Amino acid sequence: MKLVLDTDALWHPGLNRELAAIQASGDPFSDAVDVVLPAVAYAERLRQVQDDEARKQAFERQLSRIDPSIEPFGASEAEVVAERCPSQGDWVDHARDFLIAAHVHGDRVAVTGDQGPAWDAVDHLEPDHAAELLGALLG
Amino acid sequence: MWHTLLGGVAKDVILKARVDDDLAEAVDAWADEHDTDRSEVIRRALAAFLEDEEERRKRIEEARQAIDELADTGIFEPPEGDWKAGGFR
Repeated sequence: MKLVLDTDALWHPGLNRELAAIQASGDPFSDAVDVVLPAVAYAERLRQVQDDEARKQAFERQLSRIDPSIEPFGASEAEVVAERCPSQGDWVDHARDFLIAAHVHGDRVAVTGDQGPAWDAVDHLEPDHAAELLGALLG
Repeated sequence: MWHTLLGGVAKDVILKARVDDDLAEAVDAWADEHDTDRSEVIRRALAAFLEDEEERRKRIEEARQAIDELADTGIFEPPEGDWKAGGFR
């Protein structure tokens, strides 16, 4: 299961608890739960905490617990965006969402509390729901 | 979940002594080698499983607690203002 985190998933404590718990469990399936943090989402969150050293350090500790793969935006993601977002209006209003959601393809599932055309185009879970599923996996 | 299933299987083995032939053979071989019997092997296996499970639970709770402690820093509060506004032209 590959989970692609939207920026807002990073400030959902319940989800982050379960992601950290999965990583710490050492269970065989923990290797099967990949957490992907798109570079654009990383940039969004990083700049939000940049001016506060304590929050910046907390963010680093959070990432070390949930251990996501920070995935660069590349040519294949650019092609996905071009395909999914032909509307200039959607681009103006939701560009960053499309850039983040471009990492959701194949068997990947987005985790986001957001709504809009970028998320309508992909499989996605609410953070609460994802936390519930991960908690059930842990037993 | 797999731990729950495994726990259920282990209990099933102990209660009903139902093991498949290969496993039974391995268990009996180990029992012979250690001068004990099948039930003792299973008792030890279950004890080891429960010990592992206790350690696993500790690791999980420690990880959850570490995230809870981060909450005091405000890291789980959404940013103020209309940070979502605007896209790219």
